[in-house]
Amino acid sequence: MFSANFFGELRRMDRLSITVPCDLRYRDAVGALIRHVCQRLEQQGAVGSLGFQVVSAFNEAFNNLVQYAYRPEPGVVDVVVELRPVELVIELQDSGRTFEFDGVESPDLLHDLPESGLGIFIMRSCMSDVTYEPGASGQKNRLRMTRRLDGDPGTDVQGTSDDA
Amino acid sequence: MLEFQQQQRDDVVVLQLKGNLDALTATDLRPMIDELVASRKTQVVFDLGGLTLIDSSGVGAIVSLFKRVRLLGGDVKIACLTNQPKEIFRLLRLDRAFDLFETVEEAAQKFQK
Repeated sequence: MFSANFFGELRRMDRLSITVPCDLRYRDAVGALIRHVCQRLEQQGAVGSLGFQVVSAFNEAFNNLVQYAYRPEPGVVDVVVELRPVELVIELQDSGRTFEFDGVESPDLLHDLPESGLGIFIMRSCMSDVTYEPGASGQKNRLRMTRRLDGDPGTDVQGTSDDA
Repeated sequence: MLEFQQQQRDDVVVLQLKGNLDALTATDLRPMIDELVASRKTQVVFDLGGLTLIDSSGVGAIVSLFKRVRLLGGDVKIACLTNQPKEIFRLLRLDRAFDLFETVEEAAQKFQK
């Protein structure tokens, strides 16, 4: 069982929600918050690379919203950080343009050295599960990234295996 | 925030990066990359010991320089990777393309051989 105990002995954090402008200048502030939660979890026995991986995935998700969902119109993003007994969930909600998340193929990293198109691959590799729900009319788009706390992400992302 | 510094060591250019190389800062690096390629500097070492965070845009900037330098017959080597940038290089299998070194000196010496 993991508990971030985010506010020391005063309060146990189970779910945290923050709304920020969808601007890269705010990404690092939210990322620092997520890193802090991960560091607490690492101290409680979560795998040591948890913070690097979760923050890397969050950064790519936020980048995508800035670069695609809200371009050229600005907007806001709701970031929800939810701690469950054996996993950490990061959800980004936006009202920007939707995109075909499931249609994005993994780059062939064994035979190519791409300069772009790596963001979703990083998200999928660093997290145990990533799902995207385009919002129905008037509803927000939801990108939900779940990370197991008891080891590696456990994902099998195509494109990096020597056996492929 | 990204700070970068360029040093010349004999024929080798050392690019020292500090801070974050990401979607916000990668464009800051592009003019220097263009200048290196234009002046045909083909032996380049990235000193990433001070880099605290890299994202796919930052990786794209380094890969861009690598490809352009290789077209000129040169090479780009990476030194002093740690923490999150090291994790991203491992994840993206960039060790297959780049020679990675513990120190700048080791990387620079490799060009002499």
